[in-house]
Amino acid sequence: MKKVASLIALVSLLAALGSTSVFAADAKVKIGLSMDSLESAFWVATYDGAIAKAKALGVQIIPIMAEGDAAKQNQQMENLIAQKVTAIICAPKDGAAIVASIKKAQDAGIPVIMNNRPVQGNDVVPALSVLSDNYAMAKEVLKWFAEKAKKEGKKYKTILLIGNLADENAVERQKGHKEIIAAYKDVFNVVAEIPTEWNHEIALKGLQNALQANPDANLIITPSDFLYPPIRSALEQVKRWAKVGQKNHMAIVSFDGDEGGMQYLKDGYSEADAAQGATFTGEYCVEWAVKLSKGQKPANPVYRDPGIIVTMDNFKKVAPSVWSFKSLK
Amino acid sequence: MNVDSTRKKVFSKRLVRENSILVFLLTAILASVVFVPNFLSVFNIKNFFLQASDLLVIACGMTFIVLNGGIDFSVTSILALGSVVGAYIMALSPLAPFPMISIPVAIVVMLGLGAMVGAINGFSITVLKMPSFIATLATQMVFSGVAVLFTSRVASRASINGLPKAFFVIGGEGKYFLVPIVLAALVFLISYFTLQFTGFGRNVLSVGTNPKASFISGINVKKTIFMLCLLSGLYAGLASVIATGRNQAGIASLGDKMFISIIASIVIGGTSIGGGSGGFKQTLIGVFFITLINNTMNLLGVEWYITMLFQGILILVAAFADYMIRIRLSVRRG
Repeated sequence: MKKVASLIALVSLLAALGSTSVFAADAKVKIGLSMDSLESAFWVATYDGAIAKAKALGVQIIPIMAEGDAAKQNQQMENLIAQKVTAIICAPKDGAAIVASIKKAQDAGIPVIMNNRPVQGNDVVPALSVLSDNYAMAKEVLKWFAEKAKKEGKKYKTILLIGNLADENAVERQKGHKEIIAAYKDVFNVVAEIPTEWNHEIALKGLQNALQANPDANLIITPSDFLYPPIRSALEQVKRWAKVGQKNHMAIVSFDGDEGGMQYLKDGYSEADAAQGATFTGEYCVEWAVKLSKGQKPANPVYRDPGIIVTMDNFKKVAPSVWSFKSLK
Repeated sequence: MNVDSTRKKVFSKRLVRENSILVFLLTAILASVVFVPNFLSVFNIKNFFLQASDLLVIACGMTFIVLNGGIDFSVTSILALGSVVGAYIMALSPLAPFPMISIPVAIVVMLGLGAMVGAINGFSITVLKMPSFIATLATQMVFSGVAVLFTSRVASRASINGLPKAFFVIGGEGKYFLVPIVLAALVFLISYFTLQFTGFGRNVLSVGTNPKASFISGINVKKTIFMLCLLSGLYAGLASVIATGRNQAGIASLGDKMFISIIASIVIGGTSIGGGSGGFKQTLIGVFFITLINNTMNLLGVEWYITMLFQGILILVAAFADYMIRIRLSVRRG
């Protein structure tokens, strides 16, 4: 049996020769794509955009997933360096832990592009960081809601969800949300703050407890559409999953603009969503990976995608420009 | 019925099995040299041994436990807790401006935390008589949570960076790449000789094979089990030092997904999950096998889920083989 197991491993190593990524016309350019995971529709859109762009440009791309393991992602980055890729696009699980392998890549002469999540600290400066302006978008979307609430004379007992604090994006969104909450104290009263670690189970338990303790809460601020499944589940359990205008409606302000979030906004279950350019950033990263592989340098090492603030008021006008719009029913 | 000849047959089967795994490992390495681009590059060889080093240390600690017929789920939480507490001492504590003091203090604390968790496990198993499965699962949950809570309180994030550059030597940065490799080799050699040539080592195997008979023979079974738990925790603490040095950050989720690789290394290498047979040579082979699979699959650009699939299949097959041998042995004995 052990022999069988070892034989399987041996054959798989040999058979794996055929199971590789896109081989393409421009054999000089080889891009490593190191991502955390494909857990959310947002990341799937980023990944699809990157792969499609690489195919269109005729360059080889090697995608690797860390499955939520920061140390494993470092090892995978080292393996990409060993493969002598000409550029690496990295969406890190942990912006601090990834510094070690970015340094190794740069020492090996391989430019690194950060996709969506920046590196933490100043020890290393990637060749390019393609980021959403999380802080500004979080502020803008919540400010719209606050102004609307003020006009209507409404006050909100608020449940604030927080993402994984290893993710700089979550930190920036939290910062933006909290600034607006502080600036509009007459509108927002935060009754619960739930750290979710970008985990559905943790989010669901936190929400259930918060709703139990605060049955009159009437606003949920979420840092990502990814958390909609536990939000919906928790609200359905207390019969609060209702559309705008209905008696038990729970206001929801979200972030990302993925298919799920946009569908709920279209159907009237939420008020606003700050949409990131998922497909665009994936494509843009590959374009620049090719340019960096050929020795070009960007004028600015940081590109901030301003995103699109989609609300229940501007949906018809603005939503068609969001990447997930074509998938909506 | 001849128990002796059955034991000899099983022993010789294990011998053949262990050596055949070594043959397959060498064949796999040869195949990788020939077929995998960049496998034999200096950078990749360095990487290979660096990637194997913290896995080997933690797997050696776990091997002690498995030889005794137990399991230790808490090792991954020790990795995480040690990592963030050590990083805090070196980067955020009042000792941070003095790396010549903060680094040794951090290392001692990280090892101490490992020993502390190990001692808690040992106490739970020997005094409270909890099965190792339950005791170590409980400590794993507690100390994983403590690691996340600690980091969020001291750093408002899930990781701590800004560690002193001198600490990265332990992780093998740059020209110091031999440091973690030599450390891991030393740990392996000490463990191997302890098991093979000391009374404690003989006690470990004896208790793993038959705790009741060992007790009747005068072996202090509780003390042996307690010491094993302590060792497993200590080894995990050392692995935390190496891994934190390699990643150059204190990571609250360090080792989260590592447990499967640890068990795979031990089981595929040939140590019996039921206890009583196997050893560190087998663990070393298993660690190299698992590291080789991950390394070459990445180099070949194989889809990540296929790598996970193969690891899972290998563990299942190896564990089933071990189970069949143990069943045969117990049937013939009975």
